Amino acid sequence: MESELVRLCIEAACENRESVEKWRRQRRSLERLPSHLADALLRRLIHRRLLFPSLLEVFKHSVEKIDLRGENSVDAEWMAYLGAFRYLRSLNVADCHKVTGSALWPITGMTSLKELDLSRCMKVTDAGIRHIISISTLEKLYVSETGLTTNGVTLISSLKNLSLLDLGGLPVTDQALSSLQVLTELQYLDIWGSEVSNKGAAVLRKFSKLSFLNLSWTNVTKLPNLPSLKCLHMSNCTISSLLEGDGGKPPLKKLIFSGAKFENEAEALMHIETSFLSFLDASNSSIQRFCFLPSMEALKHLDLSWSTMGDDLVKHVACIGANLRNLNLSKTRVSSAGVGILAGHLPNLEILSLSYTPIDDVAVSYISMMPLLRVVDLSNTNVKGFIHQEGAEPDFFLSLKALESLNHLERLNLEQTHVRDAALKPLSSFQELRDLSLRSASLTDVSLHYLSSLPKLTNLSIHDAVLSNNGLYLFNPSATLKKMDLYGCWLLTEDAILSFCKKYPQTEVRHELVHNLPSNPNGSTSPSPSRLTSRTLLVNQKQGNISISPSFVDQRLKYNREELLALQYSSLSLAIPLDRGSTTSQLLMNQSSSMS
Amino acid sequence: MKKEDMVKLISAEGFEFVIDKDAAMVSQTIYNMLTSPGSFAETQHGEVTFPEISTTILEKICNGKETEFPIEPELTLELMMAANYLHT
Amino acid sequence: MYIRVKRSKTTYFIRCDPTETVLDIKEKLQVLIDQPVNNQRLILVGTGEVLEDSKTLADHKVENDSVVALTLRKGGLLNSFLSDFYASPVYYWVPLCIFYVADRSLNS
Repeated sequence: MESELVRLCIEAACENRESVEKWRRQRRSLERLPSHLADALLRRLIHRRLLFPSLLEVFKHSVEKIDLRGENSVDAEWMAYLGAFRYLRSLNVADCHKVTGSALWPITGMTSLKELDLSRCMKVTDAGIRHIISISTLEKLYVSETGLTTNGVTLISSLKNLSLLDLGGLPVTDQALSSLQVLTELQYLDIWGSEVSNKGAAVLRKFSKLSFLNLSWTNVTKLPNLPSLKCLHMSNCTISSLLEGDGGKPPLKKLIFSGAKFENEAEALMHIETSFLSFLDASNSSIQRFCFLPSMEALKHLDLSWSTMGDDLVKHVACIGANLRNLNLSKTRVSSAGVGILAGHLPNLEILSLSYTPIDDVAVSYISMMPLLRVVDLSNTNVKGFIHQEGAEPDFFLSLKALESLNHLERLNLEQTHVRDAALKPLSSFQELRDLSLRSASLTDVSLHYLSSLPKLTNLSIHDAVLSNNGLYLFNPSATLKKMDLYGCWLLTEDAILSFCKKYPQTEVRHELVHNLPSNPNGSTSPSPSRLTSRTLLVNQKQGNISISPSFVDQRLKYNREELLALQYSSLSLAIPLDRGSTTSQLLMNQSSSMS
Repeated sequence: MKKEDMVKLISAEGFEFVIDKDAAMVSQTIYNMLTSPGSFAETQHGEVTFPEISTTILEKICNGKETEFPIEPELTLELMMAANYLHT
Repeated sequence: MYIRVKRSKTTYFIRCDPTETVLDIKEKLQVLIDQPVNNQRLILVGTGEVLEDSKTLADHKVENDSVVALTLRKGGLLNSFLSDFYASPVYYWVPLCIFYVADRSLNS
């Protein structure tokens, strides 16, 4: 890690073009620069967009690692300078679309290069790979989604020191894979989307050190036993057997088969050693019975989203719940009853997603029995935030209050639920909450008011709510607030948003009306007849400490669209007495969508 | 304030900076020099010489322990290296 | 805060507080340089102002990171008539030995 003073120096060196000019001729210092400092300085220059090809020259004696990922300007001229970097160990030009096969010529025969990332450089073809194979020191090569053909892949077999090879998305055939079997040092092989079949998969046995393998989107149905394998991706494959064969069972830690199809899941998975398995992604797979789950006691991360998991099968998850940290059940049939079965069996769970499930408020109280939860996603569910109690007084209680007992709750997603302002009141006492996402056309300034007291709130997203200028003005968030996303809050005006930005400069505000704020620090230049009126109105309001009527209802119920538009340039008062009206949100939804 | 609570850092050109030991020991390198038993004779007297660090840079480093200061772009490379060497 | 007290090739980083008096600073320096406070003279670099013992750093507008020049007199035999000279904006004393000699000859 760099010290604070080193960081300040790098910051000062990369202030602007002039500061770069002040040090770029200090040749002796540049040559003495320790590589990690040179790397960090270069990284900062790239980040600040101050790097140009001839400036690279000053780093040729010091830099060992350079990451130019996604820099569109990187072309043959850049590569010409990079070729002279004597000590370069790692070069990343992934997604640099101007890097062609011939642009790679200058790096031919580099003597220190161990790692080269050319991912998605579409213009790198078999001719380019001929330059690369002269770099015999290469240990890691990424050429996924480049212009390589089967022939180019075959050429790679001469890079005998390779331990990592990413050929994702390339037309690797069984024959080409077979030609790579001389790469006995390989530990990591990615051939997703290739033409490899079961015949080619048999060759994988030759890679005795293989610990990572990605066969997603291939025709491989039978994977032979690979005794060193720790991580296997077979997403979107049809799997009939995994790791069957002689030799020791591989210490598999991570298994990803999202979207995979199984003819017989029990048979396909029967050869897997499960005692080390900590990560399983079976999302969107065809698994029906999940009877293999109880043996996977070491699982920490389990993704069953989009699967047939439901209340009837959830007991299989409950019985291995002791170690689970992350559980994704979104888009499943799991209802509140299912969450009830899980409650009490997930003592270490930190992340839970139940989005797009048929759960309701009953599930919320079960969730509160998972004491270490940090992240909870309840979006797109039937959660309302309150439960009716027949005959009791009051006849409802606020269900979200149950989450108050979760002392670690940092992130909560309640987008597209049925919660309304009053239901959010318990949130105001959530001491650890940092991230909150809301999206509902029935939320108003009242919700914003409740959130003022959250001491650690960092990211707040309230989409499509009916927030008024005045509500925003009165919102007094914690100083920790870094980002506030107000997309779709159509009642807000540019003036109001800009004055909020000025008041809370540490907060980045997102909204349709906010464009390029830093270049326009003095606020809107567009005519704003509203300014005076809204100021006057604000003066008349008691600032802060505004009392909110318990019968506060959606402001829109009172007005038609024209009136609301007129109000946009004044300010809605929280004190306007409101009647409890029938819900006209359908109508209002139409209004807001027609406006956008 | 006692004399033993201060250390003397000496630049390449022989300029001396007398600074609180606690502040100086924020630097891992200086800490090691002053605490490793019997490694350097000068550490017995609370003195450390830096033949590689110029006066300007050493003063900036001593400064940096106490307060914020602007960094002139022409000094950034040298200061960065000194800060790196001193682990400060 | 702290101030930098400079004398020839040495800089002392002295931790202090704006409410401390100049004498307090001199007492700190006494420990470091083995010179009695009476022999020390502190001059604020920048303004050239000689700092008075009884005044606080704040009185003299000595702020964080201020640079103060330290001069010493030998033997403590200077006469008061010289103090006008010392009060003049000179950062580093003109070779003291001259005055020292002059001082001695006047006394003898």
